[in-house]
Amino acid sequence: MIALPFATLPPLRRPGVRLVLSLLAALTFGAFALTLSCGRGCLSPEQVLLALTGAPGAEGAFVVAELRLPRSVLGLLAGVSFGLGGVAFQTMLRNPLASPDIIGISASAGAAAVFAIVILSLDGWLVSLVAVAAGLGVAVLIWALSARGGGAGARLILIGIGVSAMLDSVTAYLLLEAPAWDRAEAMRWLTGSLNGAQLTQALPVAGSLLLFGGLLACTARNLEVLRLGDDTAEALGVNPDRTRLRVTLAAVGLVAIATAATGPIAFVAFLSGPIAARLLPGSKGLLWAAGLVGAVLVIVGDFIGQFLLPARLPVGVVTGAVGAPFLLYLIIRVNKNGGAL
Amino acid sequence: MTLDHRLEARNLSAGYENRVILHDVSLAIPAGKITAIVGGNASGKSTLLRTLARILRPKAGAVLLDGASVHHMPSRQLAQVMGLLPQSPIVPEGITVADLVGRGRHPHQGLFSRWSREDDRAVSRALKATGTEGLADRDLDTLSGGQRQRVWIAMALAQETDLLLLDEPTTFLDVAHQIEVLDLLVDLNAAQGTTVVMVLHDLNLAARYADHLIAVGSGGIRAEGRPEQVLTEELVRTVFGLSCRIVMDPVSQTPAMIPIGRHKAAQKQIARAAS
Repeated sequence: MIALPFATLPPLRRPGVRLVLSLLAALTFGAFALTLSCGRGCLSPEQVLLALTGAPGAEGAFVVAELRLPRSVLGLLAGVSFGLGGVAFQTMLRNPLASPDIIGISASAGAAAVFAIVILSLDGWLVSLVAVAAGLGVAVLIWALSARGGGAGARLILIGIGVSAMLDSVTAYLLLEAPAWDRAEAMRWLTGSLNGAQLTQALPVAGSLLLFGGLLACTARNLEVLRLGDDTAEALGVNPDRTRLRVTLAAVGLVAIATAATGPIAFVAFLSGPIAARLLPGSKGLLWAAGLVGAVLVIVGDFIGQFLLPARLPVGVVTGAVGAPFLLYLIIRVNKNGGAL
Repeated sequence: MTLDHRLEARNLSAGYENRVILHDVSLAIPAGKITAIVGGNASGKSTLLRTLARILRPKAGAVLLDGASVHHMPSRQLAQVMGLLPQSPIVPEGITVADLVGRGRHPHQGLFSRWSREDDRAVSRALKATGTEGLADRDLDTLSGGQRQRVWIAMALAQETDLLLLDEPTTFLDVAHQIEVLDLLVDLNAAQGTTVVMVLHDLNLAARYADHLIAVGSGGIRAEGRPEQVLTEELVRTVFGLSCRIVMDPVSQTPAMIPIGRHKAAQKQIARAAS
């Protein structure tokens, strides 16, 4: 290359991304540790470690290992899944309202999971599989219905909200038809809950985080470039359609499998991205920040719902109460700025 | 860096959906030169550029880069050779200038490769070349139109391609910024031998800055060649349906077009145009 007469500038400063991510990771770990050690009563960190390592006769071994650990692990994994899936959709569609829990992806996974459990009497991985299939089906349906509007305009959002409402009523109907649901179980499928969590439930979610989270990680850089518009992305060597296909597959997989385990925990997917975007202006590391924010929202929301409120409430009620006002705020703001995250 | 990448169109038909805008166009872009594509509104000049840049798939024919169809080339590989600045790229909220220009390095980065010193240097060079190094930490949202356009060009420069295609890079810029952007492209062409292809609205600036002019109209190429061969009164009449006088630009010694309308011209000029 012919040398241009340009002095080399010092390497560019890329401020604070690592710091913010580290702080978020620390916060997530702190919340996780808190839910392991505190509940009705509090245990010291040593006691928690002893209980976890299965030391014979450790104080609180049952509470920590059998009750708190599965709940916290499932909350962590589901929270990360919701956060990643949500921000992936919001970024890809350039609209914070285009989150999977608003446009019906979560609702379809929830309805499919209830259907699989109540009508088909399936459990475990098969429920996850049905949920993912339904999520993908509904994603395709929404895309097809809104295709003429071009991209993620109001059309896609409105169609998604309509589909979401329809699927919620399917869930409600299935719950009424179900022979012996208790109220807690019904709440799980209506608002999302970690009640009665078991480690076996966390397995599919962990697997999906590896598989679909990995796919998302591989596509993250292309997704970043796609934010500059299809033409620019293409000029930079990114195939827009292929990128969208991969991101959709990954995000639907993450959200659907988490939903099949915990129910559609209200607004976590929707809230994580915008909160992360405020912590990390610009976009580098937004994906991972949103995943961590999702985890904090679920873990802390569940803790608040269990112990800090007068009545024990499932996590979805708490996150829903936080999310609804934010939804209103965003709708007002999106009208003003044309839909940036 | 080789300077003689050959970009050509063979029997190209292109357009949108069911509408064919260009019919059977064949052309060759001169390597190492500045080419300007001119034409009226909706004449197909952007369509031509976008098809050359493989954003649009041709309806028939092919766009060839060094003999291979660009529409069948791996996208990333092509992006290392040919850059494009589209007409209206989307500005993501909260992105800084340095970040945006850094995106230009995308085609040079592998899936797991990290940001390298070479990437840093390319970004620095691009910022310097466009005079935007002072803006590196600014949010793109806070910049003026002229600054923003220079930043987008910096992004395309950071891509370090031998061919650079620009779709109306001077639109929305005041005249001083237009000259600045065009001077910048000449610098780039002179310093690195970059082949520049751009769509321009302003015929006089096109004639002044381009080595090679392509006039597009009614679905095909009406004329191409050196500006003094292409920019004639006859051509302006057929392509734009406008009467005009062609004079010599006293500054650049290139042809300049003075339009003749129904008003505000000396009577004999109007009569001459009417005859």
